[in-house]
Amino acid sequence: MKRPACVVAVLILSLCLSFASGFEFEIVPAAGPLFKEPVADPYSFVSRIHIQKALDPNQRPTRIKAAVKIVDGSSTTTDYIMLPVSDNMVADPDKYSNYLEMRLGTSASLARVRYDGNEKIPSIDAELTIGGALNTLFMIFNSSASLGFDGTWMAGASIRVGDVFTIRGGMHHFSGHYGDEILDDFYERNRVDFNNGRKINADFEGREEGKDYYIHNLVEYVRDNYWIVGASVDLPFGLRFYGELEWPFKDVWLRPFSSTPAGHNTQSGTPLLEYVGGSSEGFTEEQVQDELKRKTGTGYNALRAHVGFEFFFDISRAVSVFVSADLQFHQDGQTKHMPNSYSPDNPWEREFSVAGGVELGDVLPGRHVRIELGYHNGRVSTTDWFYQRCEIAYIGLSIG
Amino acid sequence: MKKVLFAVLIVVLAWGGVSAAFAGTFSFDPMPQVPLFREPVADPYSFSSKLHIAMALDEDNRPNKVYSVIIETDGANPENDRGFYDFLPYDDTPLKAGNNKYINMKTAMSLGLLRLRYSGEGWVPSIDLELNLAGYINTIFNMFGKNDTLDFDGAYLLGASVRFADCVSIRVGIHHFSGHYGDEMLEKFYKYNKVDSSEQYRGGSLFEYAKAEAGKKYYLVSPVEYVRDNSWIAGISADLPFGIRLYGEAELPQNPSWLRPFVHCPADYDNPVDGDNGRPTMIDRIGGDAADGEQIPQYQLDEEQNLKRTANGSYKAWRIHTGLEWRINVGFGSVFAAADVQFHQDGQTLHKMGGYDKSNPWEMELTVGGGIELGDFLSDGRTVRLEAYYHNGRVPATQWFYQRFSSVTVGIGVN
Repeated sequence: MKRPACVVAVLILSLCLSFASGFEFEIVPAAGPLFKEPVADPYSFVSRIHIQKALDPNQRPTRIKAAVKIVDGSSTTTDYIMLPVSDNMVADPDKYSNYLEMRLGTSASLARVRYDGNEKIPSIDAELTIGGALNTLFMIFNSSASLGFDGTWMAGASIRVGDVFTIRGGMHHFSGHYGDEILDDFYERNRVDFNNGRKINADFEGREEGKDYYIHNLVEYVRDNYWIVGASVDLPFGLRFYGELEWPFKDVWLRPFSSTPAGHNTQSGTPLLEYVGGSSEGFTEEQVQDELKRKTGTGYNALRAHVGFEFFFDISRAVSVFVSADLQFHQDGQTKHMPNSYSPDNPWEREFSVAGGVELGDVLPGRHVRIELGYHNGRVSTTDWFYQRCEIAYIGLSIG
Repeated sequence: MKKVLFAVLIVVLAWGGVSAAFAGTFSFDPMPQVPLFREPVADPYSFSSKLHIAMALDEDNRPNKVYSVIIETDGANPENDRGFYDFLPYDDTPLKAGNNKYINMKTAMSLGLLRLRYSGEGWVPSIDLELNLAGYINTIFNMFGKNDTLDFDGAYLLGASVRFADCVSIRVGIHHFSGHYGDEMLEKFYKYNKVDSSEQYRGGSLFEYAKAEAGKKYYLVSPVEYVRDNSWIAGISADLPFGIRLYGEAELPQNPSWLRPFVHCPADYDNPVDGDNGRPTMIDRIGGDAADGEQIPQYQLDEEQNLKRTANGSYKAWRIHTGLEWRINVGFGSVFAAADVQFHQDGQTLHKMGGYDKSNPWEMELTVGGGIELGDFLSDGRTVRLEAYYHNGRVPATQWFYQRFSSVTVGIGVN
């Protein structure tokens, strides 16, 4: 209740200020939000259609990581195992290396108040902002089966000073989902028996004789919710630098178990690591306690940070060319995305993306269309497949 | 597809040439804010973003059972195999009374590109011409239990629009629909129905069917899916005085094209897959025994083909919708009321094998509502709407097209 009241108070204050000299108030400004979505950021709230080509045949989304119960006589443990979606996908990289990413995102300013400034005080803009994106990745083969769908949104506020320096803060959500068609293929290929505890009846790499394997859950990616804060600075000559950092709420819902930090609870008060590891993914109490011990007091908090720059060169009022680079840092890379593998000495996982192309439309205000080429070395472009590295070249259209 | 793009290119180049010759009366905008044919606010399939909370008004009509393709066999005589669709629950929780609220989130984009405008002179009205690109991804998930997602579906449109006298707009193009079930719901669906993929037959997996007959086995091929890949679409919109707008659109599946489920396929449409010579028609391909087919025995496909042929070819799986909007400008934007009515010819199939009859009615959907629109819609600006609707039609997620849904929704919309 306090939060809505605070928002209403800000709106009323903004309206009052708008009647004062030097202040302007605007509902849903056409120029778009103060904090522009970075063009090379793989997780930004933009729309895009990209045709992707995997450059490394050994790094493609062909196997789903699952939390699997392994029964060996009287002993039971749980581990993450990579299981093929289909044998053809794994065996034929020439045919199964092209993808289509379709992302539809909106980032909007809801209400903005602007102080024009004077000789001593720079202009100041403040606004409420929302952003959301639904994203999907398809294979350009195999009946164009979908690999995943994922959603993300944020709600927050931004301040810009001197039309140059912008800060954005708010809450941020990620939720990954596997595609329905590949799930059909996956369960069929692995001959999974839901009538017998999801027993795997097919062979797979690493399967050991004499042991039975049961899928407890597929590994999924959820961040519900994080705090996020970012800064962006527009410099002369079309240069821009930006950076953002996000960290989990105290009562966060986060998956998978291997990425979950110690010291957080679910909203019902249950220790998060125990809930996600136990109920959700079927790890033994001993494995959960080992994970807890490894992470407690280490500073591990599943942080994500990214930085980048953009350079726009105006050819005319309506056309510009650009280059951009974005670097992501995931603290959950220290877990190697496996249970009981976290170490503070492990490196954070990095993603590198670089893009360039032509932008149509007003470069600064409003929306624009970009024809772009890019290179990405990082995670697969749909969050449930976060554990799969890929190296891709892409070409496509982007709208932001 | 190539012909359409080529034709559009010719028109654009020709217009550009004329524009250069008559500089001063022509203008060019590479990236206008809002397309000429604006997305109707009450249309459930429009390319506008939204975040809605929906409450089902009828407990008997909720998305809690998955319509599925099932093969029945006696295990001895394949010629006696039979395919059919039936509703299968996916969990007990969604069946419980009171579990009737859903979140519908759609992210969308609708763009005008490369707009050419002739400003008019004398008795000649202004004329605008532009290319259009639009798309959305839509999802609906439960607001109970573990908030399982039920569906993800996508649509896109490629086309062109022309507007006369800033009043009448016409849009034509190709239109795509593709439905997908939500992964969390599917996991529960397989578990609830005890699907055993270690025993497979005709591309389906053995499962426990509640209505099983003695001596028969039942194999789940897949849940029923909804695809239109692609249709021709044409629409017209008129902005009238006093803030009133009327519009209508019609779409017709291309021949050949990829269309699911097979009971929606028109008769005598061609197989969309080149080189698949053993299956001459769309019904044979979508319903038949290809890896991506519904695995229905050939005799049933032939029956379906014959059933629709007797209708003299009039069944084409058309979709038509029409509606109106009324806006009153106020200081911060406008208040609005809107209504949209959809007509689906595939309703004549009753969504089941052998269900088609020419005398069956087209399926209708009604959506009516209103709200407050912030921003300047009328001067081509972006807008945010606070809106509420009553909807009596399909679940707002195309994969669940077979499930009627009477609901009230409140939420936010963004164009």
